[in-house]
Amino acid sequence: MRTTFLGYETGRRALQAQQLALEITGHNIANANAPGYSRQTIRMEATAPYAMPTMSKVSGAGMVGTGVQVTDIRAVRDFFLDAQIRNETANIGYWETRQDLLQEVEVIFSEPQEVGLRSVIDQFWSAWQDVAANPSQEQYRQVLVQKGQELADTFRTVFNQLRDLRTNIRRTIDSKLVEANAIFGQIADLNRQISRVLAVGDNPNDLMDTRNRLTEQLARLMDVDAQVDQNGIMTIVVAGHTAVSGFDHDTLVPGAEATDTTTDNSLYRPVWQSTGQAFAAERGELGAYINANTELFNSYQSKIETLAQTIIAAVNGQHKQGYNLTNDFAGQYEFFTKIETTFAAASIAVNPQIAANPWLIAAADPATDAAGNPVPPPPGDGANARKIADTLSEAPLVGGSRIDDYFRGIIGELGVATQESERLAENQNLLLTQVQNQRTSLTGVSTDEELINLVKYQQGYNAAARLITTIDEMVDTIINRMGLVGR
Amino acid sequence: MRVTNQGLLNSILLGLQRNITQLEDHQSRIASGKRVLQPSDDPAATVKILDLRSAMVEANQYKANCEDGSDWLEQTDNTITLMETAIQRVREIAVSASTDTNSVSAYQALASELKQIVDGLADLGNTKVGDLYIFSGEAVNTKPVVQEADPVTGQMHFVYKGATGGQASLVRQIAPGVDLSINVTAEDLLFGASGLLPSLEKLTDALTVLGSDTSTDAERQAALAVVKGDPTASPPAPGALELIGQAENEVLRLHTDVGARVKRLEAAIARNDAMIDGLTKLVSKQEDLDVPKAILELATIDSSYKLSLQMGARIVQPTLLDFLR
Repeated sequence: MRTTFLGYETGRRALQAQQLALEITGHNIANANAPGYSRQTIRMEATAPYAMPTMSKVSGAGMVGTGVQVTDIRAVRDFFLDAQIRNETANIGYWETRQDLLQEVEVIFSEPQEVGLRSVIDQFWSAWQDVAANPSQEQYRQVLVQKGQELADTFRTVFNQLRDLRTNIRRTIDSKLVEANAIFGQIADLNRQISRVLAVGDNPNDLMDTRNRLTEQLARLMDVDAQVDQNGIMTIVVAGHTAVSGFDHDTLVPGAEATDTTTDNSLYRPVWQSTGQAFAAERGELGAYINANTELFNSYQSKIETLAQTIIAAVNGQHKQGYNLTNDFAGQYEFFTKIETTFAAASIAVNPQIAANPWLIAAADPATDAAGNPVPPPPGDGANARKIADTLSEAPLVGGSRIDDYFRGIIGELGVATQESERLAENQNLLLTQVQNQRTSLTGVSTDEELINLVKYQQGYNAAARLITTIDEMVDTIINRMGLVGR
Repeated sequence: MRVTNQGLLNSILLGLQRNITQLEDHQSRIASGKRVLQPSDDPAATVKILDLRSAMVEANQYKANCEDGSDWLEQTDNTITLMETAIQRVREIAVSASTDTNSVSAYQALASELKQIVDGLADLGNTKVGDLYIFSGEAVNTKPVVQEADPVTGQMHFVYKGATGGQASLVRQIAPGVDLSINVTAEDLLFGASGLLPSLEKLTDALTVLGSDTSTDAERQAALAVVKGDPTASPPAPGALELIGQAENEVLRLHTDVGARVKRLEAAIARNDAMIDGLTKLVSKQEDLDVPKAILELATIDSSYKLSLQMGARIVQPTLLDFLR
């Protein structure tokens, strides 16, 4: 025999299930715009049916249903797409950062505008030509001194700006480490919380969303490999090193600054605190920064240094072979000076003696009298200045290239590298958006869908309430109205 | 494919972002009028532009060198023309002096005129461009033709004081590796091979002797030998006319040479001008924006930007709520 009041229980269960479903719908709507939120779905199941008690066989119609229950609140998730997004995020972090850095280098060189190094090298050559033509006139010598100073200034500016850019890069790396370490810590914490919730059989959907979002933040910084085991614990391996394992995490610390002037800190890398090993990120923003610190030195800074050294050596070498128009006519003055213990491009300057007295410029060839003794050269002799100009424009001084060819090579390389990073950053952006769209199409909230759910569950709730009213009326009939015969 | 609000918004945003990036890019190009603002805009063109700019600086410099040299040579040319006029007059004087009918006073007049001409020629030899002596070789600050007492006789005569030998030539580079001498020295013109001033000084002295009442017969005889030459001497001494003719030929030869060099410089200037012109066009071709084309492109991008804005606005606004009661 069935209980009279079973209907109340069925109604209650229906009300509760519909209410919960409404709440989940509300949660989805509320998080419609939350980044990294995966929409949650509710699973309702009929509760265990109530079998009619009987001695030997069923005396009525089959098993009687007892209502509904919510068995699962599950977030929609696709681990494959998550991994792909992390992968593309690391790529875009790399290429966008690289693009920004190379564009800064382009600004430093300011080519092909008429203000760059090429322009001052050309003007310096012209000034030598003018002195070669008019060695006896002071104004041309003064212009030459000025152009020499401009050349030295431009070398120092370009070199120091590249150096400053690289110093900033290293400071940025160090500050990004703080962000990365915080994420390692948060993921380890979340591992603990998630494993506890899972242990009692619930789904920690929102915590997992948060953890997933953190891995994507991390992927922007470096190459991330995230694996989740059956206990819900995520292991993070970055650049071949296990950063988060279980509830523990490792920490990245700033590397040591080298004091060696030949490398100028181009080999800088942060290290892992636990092992002291160098951090080997190849992708993500950190990968780009670490890479750029090396590359900007090798491809630009050290080439500018080579160029400066070459020009100093070429001009000084030829200059010392000539005679000037002072009493110390055969004095072997250097045109450019530099500080030997540092980079030539950072310390190049016009010899202060020459700057103070342009007559010291050795524009003339050595002169001798009939007996072969050195004598002051005639003031109109500009042969040595002409030789210096020829050296600057024609001689294969740098690895078999002329100075301007070598410089053009640097700029060409910069242009190609920047163009490549711009193109790849844009491609990556498209690719990432595509994968993200794929994921949002699966896991994202559609407000239309949620609104329909809202209506659906509300109607369900209303119907369940009506059920209770109906049962109540039925019971009222039995209790209050039945058996009134003879009263 | 399930479409979600976030996915939809992301797509719209990405589209707008791409459109507006292109707009900004085109705008900055049109504003600057340049196609290549950064090496990455077109690396190959950038390298080309740098190359062309350097070539342009070179061409301008060589042109300036040529023009500077040309100034000197033209001044030289003009001065030599004046010298030739003077030599013409000297020849007339020598012809007059060679006739046998001259009176003492006529010789005197010829002597004093010749003296003026000699001084004039010496002055021409000291011509300057700006502050610089043009006939002095590399010793541009040294006056090339000066009067000096002969160490033996004590007589005053003109000597060359400018640069000689390897220092005699003033050079301008008119093309890579091409040096051109832009001067002649007073030594070549007035002394040396032409021997003009020494010959004229001798003639002046002879005419002075002939124009003097106090000269002895022996002195007169010697003076006439200088004027007319002495075929009996060993070797035979040439007469003044012959010497002047030699000098004139030498000066003329130098003049022709100067003229040839002026022509050569003019050709070099014209060549450099043409080169600068060509290079300017090439740089512009590499660097400058095809403005009509860019504006057309801008219009296309602009309309597609507006389209995507309009479309986005239509898609974003309505929700199911507008239709639920």
